Amino acid sequence: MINYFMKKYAMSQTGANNLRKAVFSRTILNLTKMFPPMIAFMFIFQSLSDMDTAEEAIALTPQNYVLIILAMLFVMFFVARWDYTRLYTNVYSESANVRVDIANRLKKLPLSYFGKRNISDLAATMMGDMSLYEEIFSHAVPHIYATGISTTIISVLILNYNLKLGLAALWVIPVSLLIFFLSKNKRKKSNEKWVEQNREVLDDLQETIEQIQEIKSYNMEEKAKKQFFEKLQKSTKLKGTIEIVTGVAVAFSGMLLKMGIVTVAVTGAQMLLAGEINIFVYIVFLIMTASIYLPIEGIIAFMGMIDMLDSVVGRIKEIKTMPIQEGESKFHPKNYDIEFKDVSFGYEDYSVVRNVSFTAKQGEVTALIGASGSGKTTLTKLAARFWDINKGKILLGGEDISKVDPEALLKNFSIVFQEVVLFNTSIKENIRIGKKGATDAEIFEAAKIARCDEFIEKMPNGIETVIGENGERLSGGERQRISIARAILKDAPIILMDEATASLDVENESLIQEALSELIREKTVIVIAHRMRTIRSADKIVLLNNGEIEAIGNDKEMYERSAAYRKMLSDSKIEQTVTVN
Amino acid sequence: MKKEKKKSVLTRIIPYAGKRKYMLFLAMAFSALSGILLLMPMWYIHNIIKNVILNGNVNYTMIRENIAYAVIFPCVGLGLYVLAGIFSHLFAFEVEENIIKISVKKLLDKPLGYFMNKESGKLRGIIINGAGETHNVLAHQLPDIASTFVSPVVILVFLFLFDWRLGLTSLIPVFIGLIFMATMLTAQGKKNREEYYKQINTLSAETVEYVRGIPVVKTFGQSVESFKRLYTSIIVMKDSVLKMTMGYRNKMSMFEATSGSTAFFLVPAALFIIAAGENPHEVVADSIIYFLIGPIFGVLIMRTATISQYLYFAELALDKIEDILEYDEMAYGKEDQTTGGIEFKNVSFSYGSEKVLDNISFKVNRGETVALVGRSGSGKTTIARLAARFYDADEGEVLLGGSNIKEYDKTSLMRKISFVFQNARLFKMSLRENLLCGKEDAIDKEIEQALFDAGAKEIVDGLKDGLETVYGTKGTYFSGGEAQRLVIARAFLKDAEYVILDEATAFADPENERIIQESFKKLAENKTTLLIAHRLSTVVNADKILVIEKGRIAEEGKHEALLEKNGIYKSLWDEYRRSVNWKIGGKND
Repeated sequence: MINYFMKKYAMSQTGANNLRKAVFSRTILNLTKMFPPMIAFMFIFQSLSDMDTAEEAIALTPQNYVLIILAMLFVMFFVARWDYTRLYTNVYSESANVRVDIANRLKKLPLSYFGKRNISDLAATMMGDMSLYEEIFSHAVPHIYATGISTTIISVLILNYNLKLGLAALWVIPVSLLIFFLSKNKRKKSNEKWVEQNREVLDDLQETIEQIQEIKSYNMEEKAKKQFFEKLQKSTKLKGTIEIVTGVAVAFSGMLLKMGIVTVAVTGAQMLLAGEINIFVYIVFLIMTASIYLPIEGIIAFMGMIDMLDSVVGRIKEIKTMPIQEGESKFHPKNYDIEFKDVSFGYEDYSVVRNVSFTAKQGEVTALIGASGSGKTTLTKLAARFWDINKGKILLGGEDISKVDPEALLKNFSIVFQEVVLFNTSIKENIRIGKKGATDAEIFEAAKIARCDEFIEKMPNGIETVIGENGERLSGGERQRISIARAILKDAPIILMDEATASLDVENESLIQEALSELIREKTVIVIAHRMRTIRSADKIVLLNNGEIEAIGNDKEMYERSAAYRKMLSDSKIEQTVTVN
Repeated sequence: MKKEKKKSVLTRIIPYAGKRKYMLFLAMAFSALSGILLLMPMWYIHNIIKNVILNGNVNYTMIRENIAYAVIFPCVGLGLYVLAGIFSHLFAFEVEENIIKISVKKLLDKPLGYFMNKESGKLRGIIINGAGETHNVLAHQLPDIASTFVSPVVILVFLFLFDWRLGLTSLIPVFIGLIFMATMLTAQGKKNREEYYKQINTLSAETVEYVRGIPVVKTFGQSVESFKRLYTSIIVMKDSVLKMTMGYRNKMSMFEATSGSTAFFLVPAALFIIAAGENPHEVVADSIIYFLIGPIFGVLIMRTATISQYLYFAELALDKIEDILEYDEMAYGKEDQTTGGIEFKNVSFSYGSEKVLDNISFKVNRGETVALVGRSGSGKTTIARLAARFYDADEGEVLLGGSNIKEYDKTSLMRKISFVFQNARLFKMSLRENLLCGKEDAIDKEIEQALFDAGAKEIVDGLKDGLETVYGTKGTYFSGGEAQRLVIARAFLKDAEYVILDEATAFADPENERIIQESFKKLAENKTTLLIAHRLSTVVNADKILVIEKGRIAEEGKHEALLEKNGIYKSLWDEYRRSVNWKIGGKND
């Protein structure tokens, strides 16, 4: 049972174990709910004892009744309280555990996952999801299992008491559940189709919004609307059929349960006429059947809720199937040479890299050039284990980086790419992230080297200015300089950078360039380069074409050896004549 | 208070149902009726038992009659319930679809400015999820709402039909339940629940921040700390919600123990009545009906509580949709003919309270190119957006061909203007269809020419399916520069009188930069052009350059004249020259 829960609901072992306990206490609670009918029967027997001598008479005083009732109430209250405490403690602990587990996993995902913004959406959705999870696990899940068990127990007792009447009372339960499940299976199939259509609707709408400028510019509003409405109608129609079919099935199976009491009344009356049962049995069954179906109705209602759980569990499983990266957390390489050995890699929107081998030496600048999509960025990110490669090896100081914990590995890297993440705190604290426990003096120094002082001075509170969510108050170039200041503070031996970072802020381009020049002094540098002019003095140039290395060498060697390089140079000459006039 | 809320949600929803409005009432009526019919068997069963008990013998005809009714009524009720379900679903789907349709229609009618700082994913989510939320309430809760409100009435009638004393007693657990519910639905309880939802939202926001920060904290070896922060929030939230829940522990357990336990109250009352001297058989006979229907009532109370919660969610969803769609509409005129230059006359504009443009006046003569330069945030993009009527100026006038831009008919205005902004996009259809958006009846030769002029011919030639390649399908990937070139080709086909161009800030590769700059030049030929330039190389040949600073025109003139002035433009130019000479590694000058 525990394994089943773990798999079905993506639960931890403790969670599954606790759920089992919750089902147990809920079953007991369900059984105590038989107390009131029992009292009713006792009372009816006693009052009608003169009608049929076959029944043993009960003779209790009203005081006795009150005492028994009080005792029963007492028991019911404490069982309910016990169940309640266990249930909620477990549910909230488990949902907190799942949240912590998600957070923990996210931390270990390859860095490459974070470029896609849907990760944070996914995570936020999941944190919100957990309230649904809580609701379902505090109501639906234990109820379903516990009712299943307690109803079975009660059914056995009833059948044992009188088989024929028992069947008359109970036949509706399997039939209505069967109808429900049949409809569920049918729905599942059509549902998959609908999910697909619905995704099209969603994508279409999102695209329409994203392309609103073009749509308006080409007066295509009507066309876009028509196209979207068509998709929407198609999807709604399918969903409509599914829901009506299942809606009818659910209503039907729910209502069918209410027919049980009718069949008991009919069968019982016939049996009564035939003298097969006495009036007590008849009454007992009628009253029993009036209350036995209520929990089953609950099951059917809650089943719908469980369907909602599917998507929640699906998302949890999605995160759980994402690859996490771990490794040795102690890492002290002999030197800071990065060596690519016959590396191949390809994944989703990352460009494919094939059989790449080269070494970026300590103290040198290695520039990667090539058309967009040739694999420059992918290679750079692979060096810092943003992703694990499919084939070959990447060595840092002779050690295989795939065996090193990413965080320990990253201690040796400073990464200056275009996207800069800033936090909603002061500029000072944003820079301090570069080095844990850095003194203010160190921060000021780094800010100065990164040419941050130029814009910090203009801020209302200087370096203490809080910069808003994700630094929304700063320009692209300013953000970039903060990221350089962090890198300077960190003073890591290896620098990975994208040359384009410099041109984010055209009017401050040269300031950023100066800052970058300071940063890379005497480090192992791998740079993604776009402008030929900037890389001509690099120690090593790697020309990539479609994920493969076309040529390697310094400017002079490349000029001699590679026709492609010469072509790029001559193209950039044109660029220069355009630019410098 | 609860009732008033409900009314407002339903009355807000009805307009969305259009012609299917009547279905709501049918669904409710059928559902209410079925609620009554489904309780009817209890009545007949009671009759049978009472008869047997009181007469002491089994009367076959009486039983058969009662059984017949006990079967017929719920069968009809079942049929009605199913019908109610069908109607409520049809109604709900109509509402859902119309909410989406009406919202999307409104959305498409918004001026472009509306979209400038809105996330497409969020907009989409609010509309679609909101409509879905309403649908759920309508389709699944609606039929129950009606029966929930009708059944208590029926039950009350039942209760007092036989023995009012027993009837009243059997209501005790219901009262207890209601009291517990009431104490939980108090202001404090509501506050607690809202507090909880708020905590969940905060946690979601914190998670976003956490996830967003992971790359940074990981790179700087501080993931342990940031994890600890989130961990603490999670645990604090768990503790507080657990504390809140445990506060209800005794009440909820009491409710659980009493709500279905009609017999606990009925039996002593019946014994008391018997002790007072009444005939036990009659008392038992009268009590049967209460034993039968008592427990059902408890379920109905629980349902009422959840329904009000669902309605509240639907209301929230509608509010959210309405909030996000709130934006000042634009009025359009009828003008569609005039031609001439672009003119800004004393234009001022603010985003909220932040003044972006302050009394700007300038003119672009017909066929000329005017370039806008300036630091980021200076207001040059806003000028371009005003010229394409993304927004309306707060003060002053924007004139096209001598007529105020507001006088133009919407379609004609868009036909007259081509704009190519930074985030250029292609539609997810074939490249040919994409290009034909610019000119519906373009012949192959014209397409060819446009591609050539935009420097996009080689992109298309490199594709296996050429122009028939569907953009966005697997494997068709264009870099930002390539996409922009194709978009420019579309603009060539459109051949509009006014051209507004926004050069990309940073080109991923110089190859694209060169091609795009050249095609911009070609596109601007003989057109009235407004060009936002980020790289000064582009502006050298402009007929006029406007240097924008802090929402004002700081300098204006031709390239050479501005250089001689030795002002802002000169410093921008020097900066530009310096940056072009940078080298990575080695020596910098």
